[in-house]
Amino acid sequence: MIVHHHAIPYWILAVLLIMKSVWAINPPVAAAIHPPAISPIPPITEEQDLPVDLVDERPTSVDLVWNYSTRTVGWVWGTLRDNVFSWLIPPTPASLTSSVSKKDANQLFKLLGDAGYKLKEIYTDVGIIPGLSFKFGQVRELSEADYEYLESLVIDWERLNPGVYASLQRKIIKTVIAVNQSGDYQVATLTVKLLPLPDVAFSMTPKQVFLGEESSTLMRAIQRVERSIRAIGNKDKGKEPLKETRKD
Amino acid sequence: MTKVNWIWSIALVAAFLPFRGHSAPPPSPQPSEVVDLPAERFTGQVMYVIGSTLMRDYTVAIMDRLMKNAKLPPAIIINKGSTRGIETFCSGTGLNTPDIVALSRRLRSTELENCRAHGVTDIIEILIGYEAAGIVSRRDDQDYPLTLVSMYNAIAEELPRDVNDFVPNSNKRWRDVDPDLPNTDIRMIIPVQSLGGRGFMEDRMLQGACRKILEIKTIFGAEDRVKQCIALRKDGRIIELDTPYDRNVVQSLATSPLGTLAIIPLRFATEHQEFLKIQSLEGVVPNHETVSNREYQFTRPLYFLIKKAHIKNYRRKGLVAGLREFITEVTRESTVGPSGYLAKLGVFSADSEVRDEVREASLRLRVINR
Repeated sequence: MIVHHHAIPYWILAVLLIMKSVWAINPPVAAAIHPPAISPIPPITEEQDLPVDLVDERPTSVDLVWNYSTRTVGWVWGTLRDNVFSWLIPPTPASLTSSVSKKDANQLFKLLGDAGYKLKEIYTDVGIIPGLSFKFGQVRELSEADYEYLESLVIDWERLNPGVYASLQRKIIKTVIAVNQSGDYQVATLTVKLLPLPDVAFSMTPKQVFLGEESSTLMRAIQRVERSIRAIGNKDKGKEPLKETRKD
Repeated sequence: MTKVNWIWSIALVAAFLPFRGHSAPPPSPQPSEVVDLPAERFTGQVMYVIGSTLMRDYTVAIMDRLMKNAKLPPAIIINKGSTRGIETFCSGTGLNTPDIVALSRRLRSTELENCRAHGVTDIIEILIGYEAAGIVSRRDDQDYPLTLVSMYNAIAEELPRDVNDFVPNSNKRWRDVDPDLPNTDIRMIIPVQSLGGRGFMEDRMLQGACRKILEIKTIFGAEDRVKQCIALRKDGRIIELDTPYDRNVVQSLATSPLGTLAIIPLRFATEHQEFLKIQSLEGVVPNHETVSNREYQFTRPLYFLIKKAHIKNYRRKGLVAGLREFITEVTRESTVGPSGYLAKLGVFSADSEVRDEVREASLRLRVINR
C-alpha cells in the first residue's frame, strides 16, 4: 500500500483553483476590494518592480472570502443584538424616562396630581441592573369634596382597568388617601420605584408641627416681609391692601 | 339520667348558645347621639333607618311598598343628614343602633375605618341611582353654554389675578365671563346655606371649578383653599332662597330679568319645562342618559348601607325582621330601573350593567371590601 505522506491535500488545491478562477473570471470584483487611492500614486521602487506571481494575489482573494464571511457574521450579530439581546444592554437615562410615558403611568401621575402630589425628581441608575424611581412631593392638602372626587375617579379607573398593574397603582392612591384622611400624619413625599423591582416608599410627617424657636422667628420674619411686599404691590396697583384671610 | 349526664347536657347547651343565629351580638358602645326609640324596636320587628334628608322620600316609598306587599310594620325613619347618620350607624351593632343608613354620597374611607373600629365590620352597600342638579333659566331666555369655570367666574367673590393675588369679581354681564355667553346681566339663584343643595353646589360645582384654576389649586391648605373657593359675591347678584326652594325658584325666575339662572334639582326642572329652560354644563345637556353614564358632572350617587349583622339568616334567625325583604325590594327593576317608582320620585337610575352588578352583590349579601 502506497501512502503519499507529503502530497498536498486535494481540497487545498481545489480552494486555490476556485480563488484563481474568481480572479480570472471577475477581476473587477477583486479590484473593488482595493479601490484606487485618491492621493497621487508614488513612484514604483525597485523592490516593487518584481514579477508578479498569482500566489501573491492569494491574500486578496482570501480577503474577499474573509470580508464576505465577516459581513455575514456582522449582519447576523447585528440582527441578534437589535432584536434579541437588546434587553440585555443597559438603557440610557433618556430611554428609561421615556419608557414610563405610557397610559398606565400617565394615569398614575394624573391621579397623584389629583391627590395633591407633584413629580419632583426622577432617579435613574444606569448599569447592568437599571434603576428608575420617581419622587412626588405634596403640593396641596385635599378637602372632603376633593377626596370624594378622587375616590370616584379611582372607582371609574377600577372598572375600566382591572389589571394587576393598575390595581397596584390604585393601592398607592388608596394608601395615600387613607393616611392623609385618618390620624395626625400625612404623606409628605412618595417615591415610586419601577426598576429593578416595583416598590413604593411613603414618607410621613405629622400634620401639626410646632416650630422650634429659631424656625418660628424665621417664619415670622418671612411673613412680615411678604406682608410688606404685598402692601407695596397693592399700593402700586392703586387699591386697598387685601385682607389677611389666608395663611401662606 | 345520672348527675354527670345532666352536667354534660347543660355544658353542651351553654357551649352552643352563642352560635344560634345573631341572638348574641357583640357588645357595642352607645350611639353617638341617643334617640328615643319605641319599644317595638326592641322586639326586632321594626326596621330603623337613619340618614340623608334628601333620601327621605325614597326611603318612605320603599317602606310603603314593604308594608303593603310584605306586611311589615312601619319603620323608624330619622333624617339627620349623611354625615351624622353615618356616625350613628357606625356607633356599633344591636337594636339600639340603626339597621340602615341612607346616604346622598359615597361612604368615605375614613368612615368605613371608623365603622370597623366600632365593630360594624360587614356592611352591604346598595347604589340606587343618582341625583342631579340642573342650571335653569326662564323659558324665554337664550342658551347659556356654561362651563364650571365660567360659572365660577360669574359668581365668585374674588377672582385670581396671579398666584396669591385675588381681586374682587368685576364681571357684570355673562359675556364678560365668556364671549360665547349672552350679553345679559349676571344673576344667580341658589339655595340658602342651611339647605343640602347648597353643600352639593359648593362641593361639586365650585370646588370642581377650582380644581381647574391653577391660582386656586396651588393654595396648599385645604381649609384656606375651600374658603377662597366657595366665597360668593355679595353685590346683590346672588339671590339665596329658602324652602320650599323649588317653588320659590319658579316664582322668583318668573319675575327676574333675563340672564337670571338658578340651580335646582334636575327632576324638578324636567317637570317644569313649560316655565324653565335647562342649560348645558361643559357641553353636556343633563338628561337620563348623561346622568346615568356620569357624563354630566353635577350629580351625586345615592346609597343605602345595611348592617349584615342585623339581617336574619335563611333560618329566620337574627336581630331584625324585614331587612332581607328590604334588600330584595331596593334592587328590583321595578324600584330602581329607569321606569321604576324611584325614578318617578327623581332618582336617575344607574346603567343596566351597574344595576345588574349591584343586584347580584346585594342579593348575595356581599359586604364592602375596600
